[in-house]
Amino acid sequence: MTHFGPTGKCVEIEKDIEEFLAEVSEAGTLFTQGVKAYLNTYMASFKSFLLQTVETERSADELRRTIEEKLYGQTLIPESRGDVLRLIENMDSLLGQYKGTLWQLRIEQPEIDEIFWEDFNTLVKFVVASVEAVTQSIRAFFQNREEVKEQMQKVSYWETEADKASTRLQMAIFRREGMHLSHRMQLRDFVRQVDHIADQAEDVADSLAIYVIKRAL
Amino acid sequence: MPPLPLLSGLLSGWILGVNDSSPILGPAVGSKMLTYRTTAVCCALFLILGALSGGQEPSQTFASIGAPTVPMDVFLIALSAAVSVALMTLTKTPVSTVQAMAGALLGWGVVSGCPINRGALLTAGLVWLVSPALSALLAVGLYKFIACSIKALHINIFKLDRMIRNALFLACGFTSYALGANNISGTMGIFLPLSPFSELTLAGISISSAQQLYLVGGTVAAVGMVTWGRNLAEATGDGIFKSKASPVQTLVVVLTQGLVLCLFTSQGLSAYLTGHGLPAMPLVPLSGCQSLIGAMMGLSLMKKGVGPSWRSVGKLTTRWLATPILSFLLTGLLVFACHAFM
Repeated sequence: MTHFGPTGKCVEIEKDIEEFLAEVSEAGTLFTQGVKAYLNTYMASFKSFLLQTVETERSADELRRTIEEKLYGQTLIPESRGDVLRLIENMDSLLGQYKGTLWQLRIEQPEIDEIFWEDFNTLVKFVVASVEAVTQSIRAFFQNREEVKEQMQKVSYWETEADKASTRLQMAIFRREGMHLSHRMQLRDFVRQVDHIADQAEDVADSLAIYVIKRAL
Repeated sequence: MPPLPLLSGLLSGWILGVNDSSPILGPAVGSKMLTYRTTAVCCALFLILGALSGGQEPSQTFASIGAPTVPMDVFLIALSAAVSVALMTLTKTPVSTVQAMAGALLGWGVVSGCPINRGALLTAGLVWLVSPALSALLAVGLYKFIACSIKALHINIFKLDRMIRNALFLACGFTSYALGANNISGTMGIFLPLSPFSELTLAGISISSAQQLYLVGGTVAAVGMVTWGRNLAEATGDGIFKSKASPVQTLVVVLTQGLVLCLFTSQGLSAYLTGHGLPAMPLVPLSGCQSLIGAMMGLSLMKKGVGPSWRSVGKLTTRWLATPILSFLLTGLLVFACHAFM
């Protein structure tokens, strides 16, 4: 515990959290690029994006552990650290889902008809936007709580858009003629898996809303 | 070797450090914002400083309740007060040493037939009743001010944590200073006629006999705070203060105690009020714990879930009442036995 101590420890953890959130944003970009590369059958690029996502996730994991150690080791923000850690863990889980979905594509290599590409890209765009909005909400939680509400509204908006895109895409998949049921179900599972990321982002935003209420002055 | 009556004074000073410091250290340590050792050492230094430079007036008001001059009576009064507070400390209840002292003085007065200044006693009683309510009001005002400042400044969570931690550390020091100024004179005041010290001049600074006596009292209180105060402080922090109080609320309750103690100690403020045609503030030693509970209740009325439960307030109130009654009975018994058999 510090009394009038150097401000270094606090600055360090602020930097770690900022870096962690930057990794989440970067993973979102890599995920978008990865799915795009897969749809365009640029498999070499896809593999490269997958490996970069894996690396980003590993680096975020390390940062998460460092943040945990610093928060508890130096007893920083004693009344908030439990909630902060849950937020960081949930964000790490979102990052894991990006990685998991790309791996799933790599393993199963589903055939995705060109007619679905645009919808797939749109869905991914909305999902990544919802995660980015929750990342911004968390940044606001640390920096300026007055802005959290505004950012959280964006999470809800993008999650709803992702739901709409997911429904549209699933309907298109099941109305498309000449496809095997197994193929339809495989694509549906992918759509659901991607959409689930936005749902989880909304769950994180809901938890954040409670943390903000708990700390209202 | 201090004279025999002063030994019980040292004991009551020590027990004051153990017990009366818990409302300051308890919330600070219980909130996990500060560590016990560092905070206690800093508070101990401020307590000594407060005792040395603090108010002589509270002791005069308090001593005017009754003024024992027989060394054995003084010894028994301080001993009874110390034993009563020690018993309460064993039950992990923060009480007030000065209130135990008031009970003991009253017990001595009743048994020995010496006159008791009812006016002074009534003033002290009124202040003790009013101080929790005043703390509640002050805590609400302070909280609103701090909360508005934080909102306006848009401070990030870690910077805010650091600022509150530092402010809490300073608040603990300030409140310990106020405790030293207010309570040490109340506890050691009855020893003034028996003080073995004479006026001293060190490097051109004159230190009166009373100041030397308070310095000794403050030092033993500081030792009590650092050595045996931890258990009670932790019990106060985890027990009474085990609420969902945020660091800001912790800062507010500690600071409120200091301000209330200062209000009833500061001769400057009292002179300012009388100078402006206002009634003077009665300078009376009071209980930090009652001020703490008052502040917590004030905050809980404003924001639910931060105050102690009614059950623990009831339990505390019972023990606060029991302490002076116990010291009253103990002193009465001891003084009676002493007068009868010696």
